[in-house]
Amino acid sequence: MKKITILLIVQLFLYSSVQSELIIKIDRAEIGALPIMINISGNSKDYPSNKFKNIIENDLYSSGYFNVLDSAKVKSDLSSKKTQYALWNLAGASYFLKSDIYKENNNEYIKFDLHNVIKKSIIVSYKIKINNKNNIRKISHAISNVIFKEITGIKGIFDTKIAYISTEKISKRKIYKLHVADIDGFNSVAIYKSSKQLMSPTWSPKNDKIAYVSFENNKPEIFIQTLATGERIKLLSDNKSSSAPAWSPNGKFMAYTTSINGNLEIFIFNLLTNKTRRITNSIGIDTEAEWSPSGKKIFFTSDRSGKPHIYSKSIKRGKARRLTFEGSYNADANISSDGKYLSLVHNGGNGHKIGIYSINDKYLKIISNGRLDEAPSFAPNNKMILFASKKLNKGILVATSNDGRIRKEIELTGEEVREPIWSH
Amino acid sequence: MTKRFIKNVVLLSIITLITGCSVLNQKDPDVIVTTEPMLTKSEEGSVDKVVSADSVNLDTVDKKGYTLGNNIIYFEYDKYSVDKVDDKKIIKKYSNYMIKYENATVRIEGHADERGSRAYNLALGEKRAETIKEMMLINGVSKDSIEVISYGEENPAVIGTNEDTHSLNRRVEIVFSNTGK
Repeated sequence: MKKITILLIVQLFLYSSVQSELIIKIDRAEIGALPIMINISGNSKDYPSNKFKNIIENDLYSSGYFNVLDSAKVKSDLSSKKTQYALWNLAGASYFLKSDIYKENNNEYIKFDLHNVIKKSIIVSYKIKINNKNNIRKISHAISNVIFKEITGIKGIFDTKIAYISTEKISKRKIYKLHVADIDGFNSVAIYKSSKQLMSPTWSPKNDKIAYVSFENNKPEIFIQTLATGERIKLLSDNKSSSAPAWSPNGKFMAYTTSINGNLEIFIFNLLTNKTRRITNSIGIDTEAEWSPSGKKIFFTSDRSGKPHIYSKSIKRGKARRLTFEGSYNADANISSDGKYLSLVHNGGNGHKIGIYSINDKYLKIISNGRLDEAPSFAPNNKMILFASKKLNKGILVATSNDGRIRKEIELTGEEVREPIWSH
Repeated sequence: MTKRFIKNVVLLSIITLITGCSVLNQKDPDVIVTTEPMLTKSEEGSVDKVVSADSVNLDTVDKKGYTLGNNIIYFEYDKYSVDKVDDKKIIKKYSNYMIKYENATVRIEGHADERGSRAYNLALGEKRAETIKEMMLINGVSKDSIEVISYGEENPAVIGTNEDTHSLNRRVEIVFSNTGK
């Protein structure tokens, strides 16, 4: 499969003394990608058309589904529809976005028609009011979502977020940062910084809060931070170590791990009543709870068979059921939003790689080729997996499509990045 | 005269008894190996080291000053059982010290190597530390004097990506938070 690589370098200001650069490397297959052209006319001082165009083109290109053709040489203002489609077709485009930024009663708008060039018809038309310069990225991602959904039938994810942990060494001291960023790497904000270890970030079902583990009290404890206000609360009032938080789909419970009688067990904390309930009971390690979309059961990692494997268990009653049997290590399961697949860390004797396990088919497919790959999570449309990997011993993030058509590496200069997680 | 004679006879019989005993022991090597006084002696030797380290201000000395000499127990990949006699001796040595100095408190720090999931490695480090804690409890140490903490894979003893470095990072370190003196 022929692959093309592009490199993007983004300047970031992460509220730190040192300015980091985000390096995004995209490898993608060209065959089978849908040819599309984006044309945005109209010149506004506050809302330059090329800004919208660049963001939309980048979104579509890096999705792996589209081949973005240069629209500059093609006329888009022809009055004859017949000639217009013939010209676009001749230029190789199957789809054409014809868009315009204009003023109307002191308000500025962007309107667009998405054309199917082959069928010579308009698929969809929109008119969006733009009233804030800071919204250019948001509106562009929304337009990308519409294009993506209308053409592929798959939900667009260009307006979703990722969270991840980075570490930076400043004169022998290690600084840990919890970041929230757009999926294209822009708008990265370090929402919490600490000189003590941070780990295991996880999104609330509404994406308005992040739970994570912080060592600020010299032991692992779970904290919940509200994104809009920055308010932080400690989940449990006891002084024990706790880890691996997982929000229930209805947002009412938090599953977590703590030790009892020398064993690591999974508990559920009720966020309304502040009561805890024990879920697992076995000798050894039970951890990394992950809820099923129905909220009726959890998936988790247990070494009750002697080696770490993935199990599932009803949160009400009943026995745990072992799911994985292949290899010597299966851990850190993350479920797809349709409940059909688990992404996980797998070792089949050749290093730790990312696998996708089909729950119904009981089939495991390996989708990464590193030796120290970990922390997989599905994109909200389940078409991509985001995970942590190592490049020359440095922590980087990788996003790859399930079919391997596209692979995106995200690297931060001067910092190690790890434990990425896609929002819902 | 008679008194002195009797005394000598008694002394002689005691000597014979003792000699007889040692001869018996030598015939049965197992008995010698498990002789209690030898173990106690070596333990007290190590404990003495702490006495000397203790005379230094503990707030400023290196972390090593908080230990009874060897304080690290290593583990197999993805395992947390303690099987080696030497490792059991380390735990016994700390247990004896903790029983002797009731106010002493220890922090048992668990670690894992870099491979695999971070959250799982945190649990693995904790389970390793809990295993050492359980052994100390069985030895008679009070549970209130033991604190368990895992750092997972985050604080490796050595940097590297091969089995040699990994094996040095899969460990539990026993550190005094209070030497009890």
